[in-house]
Amino acid sequence: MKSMGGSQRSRFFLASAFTIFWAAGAWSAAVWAAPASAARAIILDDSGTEALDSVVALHWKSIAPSRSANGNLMVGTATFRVRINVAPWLKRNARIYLMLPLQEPGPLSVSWTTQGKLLPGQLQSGSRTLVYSGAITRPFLEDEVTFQFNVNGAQVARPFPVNFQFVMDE
Amino acid sequence: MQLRQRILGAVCIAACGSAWGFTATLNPASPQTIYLQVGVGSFTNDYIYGGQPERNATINSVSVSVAATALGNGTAQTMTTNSTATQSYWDGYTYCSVPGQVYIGGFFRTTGASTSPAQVSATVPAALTDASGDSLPFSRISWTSSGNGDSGSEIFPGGTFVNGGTQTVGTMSSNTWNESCWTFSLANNGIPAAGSYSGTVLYTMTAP
Repeated sequence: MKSMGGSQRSRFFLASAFTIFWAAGAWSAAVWAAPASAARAIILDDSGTEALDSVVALHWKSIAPSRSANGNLMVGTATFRVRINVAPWLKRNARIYLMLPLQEPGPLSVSWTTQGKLLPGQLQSGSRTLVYSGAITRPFLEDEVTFQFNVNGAQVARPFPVNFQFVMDE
Repeated sequence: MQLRQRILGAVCIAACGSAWGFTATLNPASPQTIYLQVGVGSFTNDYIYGGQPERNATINSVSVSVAATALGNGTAQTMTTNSTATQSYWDGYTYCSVPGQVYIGGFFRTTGASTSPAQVSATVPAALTDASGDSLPFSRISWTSSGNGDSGSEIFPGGTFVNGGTQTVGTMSSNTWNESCWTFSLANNGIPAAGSYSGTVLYTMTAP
């Protein structure tokens, strides 16, 4: 069964690669037809991104609470080796955003530092922040990004996933 | 063949493109903490300056010597403590006054929207006893509750000890700092045998 799974994965990546070239042409056509104000966010292929920490351990920012129950912030850090496939936009200028969609269990904020290829920043769930602006000179944008998560401890009681996406305005 | 692969790819971007993105799994790790202080306690610094709670094994006493001329006159005798705890470890505020008051405070940390408060209970012996075997019921000791700058009800209200058993002396909501100052007194009714009577009350905090 293992080898079968591996074979399926290979086919998926192959299909994705073809998709990118094919889709780039389609997007170009769409931009032609649509007015400039009707920008559409394209979710970028970041399937090469790896988590260096499989689980982010959250800890109380302050071990003791406040008198008013407002000191419930929990924090945790995690590092990812980010790899974004930008081959379809080679030799073009691009603005790439990190997006944190609204998701369960509730609002959270995150800040991050980078090794310099991407921009450091911060954002709240339900928003996005610019992480790259400029010419695409390589097929992949790669950087090591360390995130710090800030979560209301009153909202979380068990492990939960937080999903990010890199997007580009068409 | 190449065309077939391209078509397959086109289908995939429509169906699979939104699956891109990466996921971090956040785990509220070992977040539960409880802290109870009756009398003196220990923090590395005030909480608002990053202080962390520490263990303190000190057992403080509350006592009173009743003058022979006042014995049994019906006037409650205010007790004093050897506790030196006057300041709140939350911010250093001088909250209690010694030797008249005993500080009691604490908190419990837990994740999620907890609805069950932590209970603080006192385990009380049946009586105070002296070396001769004489006894005084523990219910002769009562306390009132206050705190510098406080108004309204206290989180650890006043009460009277039971004669042997466990009684609740306060509750704490999760993720809040709670504190009060207790002033103990001895009901001065009747004339017991002369002696030095003592007993130990154990305070316990139980968090859900």
